[in-house]
Amino acid sequence: METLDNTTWDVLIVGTGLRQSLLALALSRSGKKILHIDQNEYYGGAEAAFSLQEAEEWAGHLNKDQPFSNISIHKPEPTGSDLSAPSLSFSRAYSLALAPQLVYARSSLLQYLVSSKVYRQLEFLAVGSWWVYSPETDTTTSSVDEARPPHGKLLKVPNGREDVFQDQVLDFKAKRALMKFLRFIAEYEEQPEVWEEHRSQPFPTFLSEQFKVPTTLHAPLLALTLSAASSGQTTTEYALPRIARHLRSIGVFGAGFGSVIPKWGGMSEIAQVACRACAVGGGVYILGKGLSTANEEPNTTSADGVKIHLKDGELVTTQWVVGEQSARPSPDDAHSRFITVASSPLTPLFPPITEEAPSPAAAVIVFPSGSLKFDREPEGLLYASTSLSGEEGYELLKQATETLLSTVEVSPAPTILWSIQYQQQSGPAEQSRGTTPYDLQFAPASLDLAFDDSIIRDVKEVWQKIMGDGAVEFLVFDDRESYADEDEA
Amino acid sequence: MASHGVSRTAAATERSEEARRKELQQIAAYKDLTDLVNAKISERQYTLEVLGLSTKLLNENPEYYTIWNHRRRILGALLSPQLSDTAPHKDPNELVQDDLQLTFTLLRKFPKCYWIWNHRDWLLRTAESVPGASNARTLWAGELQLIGKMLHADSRNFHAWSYRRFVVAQIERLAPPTTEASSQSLVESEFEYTTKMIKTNLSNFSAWHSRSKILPRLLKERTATAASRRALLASELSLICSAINTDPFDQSIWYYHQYLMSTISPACPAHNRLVLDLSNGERQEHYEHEMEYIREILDDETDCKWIYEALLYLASAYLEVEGGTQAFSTRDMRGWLDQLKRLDPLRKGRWEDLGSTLNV
Repeated sequence: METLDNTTWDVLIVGTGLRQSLLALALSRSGKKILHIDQNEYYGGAEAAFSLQEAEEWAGHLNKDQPFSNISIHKPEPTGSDLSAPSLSFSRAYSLALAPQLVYARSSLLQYLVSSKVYRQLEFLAVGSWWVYSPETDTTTSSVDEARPPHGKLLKVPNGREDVFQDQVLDFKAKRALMKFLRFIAEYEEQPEVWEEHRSQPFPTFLSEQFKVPTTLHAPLLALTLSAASSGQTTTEYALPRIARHLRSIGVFGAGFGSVIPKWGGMSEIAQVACRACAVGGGVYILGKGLSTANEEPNTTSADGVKIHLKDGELVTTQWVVGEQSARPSPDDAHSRFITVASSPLTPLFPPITEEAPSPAAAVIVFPSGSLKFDREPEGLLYASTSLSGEEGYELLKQATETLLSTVEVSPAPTILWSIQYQQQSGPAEQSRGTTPYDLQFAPASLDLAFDDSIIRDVKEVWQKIMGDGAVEFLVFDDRESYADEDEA
Repeated sequence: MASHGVSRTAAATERSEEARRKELQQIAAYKDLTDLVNAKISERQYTLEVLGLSTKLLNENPEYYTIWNHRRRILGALLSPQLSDTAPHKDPNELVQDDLQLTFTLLRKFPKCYWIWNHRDWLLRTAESVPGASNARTLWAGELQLIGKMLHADSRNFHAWSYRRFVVAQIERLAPPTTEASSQSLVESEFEYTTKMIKTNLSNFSAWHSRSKILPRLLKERTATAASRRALLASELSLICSAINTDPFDQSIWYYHQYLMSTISPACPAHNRLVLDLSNGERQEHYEHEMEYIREILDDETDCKWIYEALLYLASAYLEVEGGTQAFSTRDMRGWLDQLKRLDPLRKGRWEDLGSTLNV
């Protein structure tokens, strides 16, 4: 390959995380000369997906400037010589997403994937039931087995009116209160008088005071927010739009479910497809190439743009540089993550959505201070996440995972075959400028478990700056090749 | 025309001059085709060629019902055994299959067009007497599957529901006479089907309506005793009570409630009754129970007009059965009537009429 030294570009994009990759996609038909580099040897940055082996390598030597720390892996030794006990599949059967996210049906991401035509290279699976863990309050069970983790109940979260109708546990008053809230949330933006003055109030208080929703229903409603914070710290203004997003997405792609996950590799799959599209449009991709540390001083600018040094000393000139802010270490913005390979597909978590609906591929289980997501396909992966950092966070997640495995009624009792834990730092949510107006920085990768449309907004903002007057339609492209007409929907 | 609150996509867009010219051409071609088909029919040219022309026309506009009539004339002639040997003809079974395919394709695009459903129905009935056609029962069984899929795509399409009842009746008619009467009937499975559809979407008028049609027959076929009839009525009342408590704002739920009340009323004709021998005392108990739980909902929802309407009708039904009552007063009834007038002022005349009928 020819050297990059002394080359000139219109845009230099640093890092192949989701934001940068979506930007590359947006620029893929612009005719601009794009150089897209990533210091890692893989795509996806903080949203990358790994096989087990790749995860082990990643844990072993982490590049600097990554928002991850405190990584460790556990591979429990199989107990006994039971050859029929389930064991790990080969490494590539697993695709661990560092940033497991579900995408709501109403998310603008999906419509942009369609309008930019890259949807043809992507496959999505349905997210099925949501569950809330309820610790067993019944302490009269004999033989308190200390070796056995606590064993509570999993309650299904109602998705709307018909679920409420069929519920056998709630009394009529509770059902009516819940329905009143569900009716409100469907159009809550048009009823500010109901909630605006309570916006900073903890959400459970709002539910009790304004809607007389009994406390037994607080947990399921909070579950829908996927809030990383505890219930007392989740505010009404945080909760309402998230619940509304969830409920409004139900049924959009088919009865009974409202969100999807990419089939292989989480959000990195979308990043890769985006980068591929940019490469087809002429973008140049180099992995294992980052910026040089010697770029700290202000770089020389000329009419052609700013001069930047790459890792191995190459000097490139570019009009625009787009990168990602480093996440500043701060305990407030760190989340603990725990990914487990379970020995069982945990089938009870996956009742069929409805007849003739796609079979569910993931389930969400919410615990009081964290949430778990379980991917049935390709292979059973349990993702656990909490906003508590450090050892405390890990303990919480480990406990939640073990509790879940013991609560789901499957025989033989599922065990952990492999697990990895790590800390992930996020940072301020706003974009910023670097040292010059041509240096644009995306915010660090989000820790949210659901894809948030603000990411699209950020990408569009950067795209508009770069395209200037040339900006026509964002992420709307024609097919490069003609495809046979598909059936009208 | 809006369907279920969803408006049809309007085609009102600005058209370029070229697009307009193209459209004028299309209109001219369409008119020529229409004239041609109509001319040939008036000359009684019931041939394969004209059949083909009508296919083209119907693909463009299946709502033009006259052409469907013409088509049936053509098919009638082509399917008849006295066809002349000189004219080109097709195997009758193939003709039937072709039309089934045509209507199927069109139904997917126009699931609410009366004429397509009508033609398909005619086709299947005619096919029964076509030699070499698939066994009639197979055809109708296939229809049931088709209807299942159409209802899955749009569970509130009343055309499909009505057609479903018709298909079920045909299948039952054609069941071999040697099997037991009870196993021929699809009433139990149809009852289950309405339960399933209601659980999927409570707002399904057609499902509730079908259920109301099925209930009397279901009881008859189960040769239900007086006790089991009461049990079924009780379980239906409990189901609707649950639904009303979940969503008192949904009209289709109240609609079924009205139906159940109508079967309890002394004015209900014998063939519609669920319990054949209800006493006035039992009626009174039912009315009281209904009024009680419905009134409770007022604690949480004061702006639901269906509640007030239901209470007024229940009150008047109660008064007919039992003159004096402790359960509610005329003042209560006047209060409910006032709420109705407040919540639904556009129907003020109707509420005042209701008030004078009830002497409130």
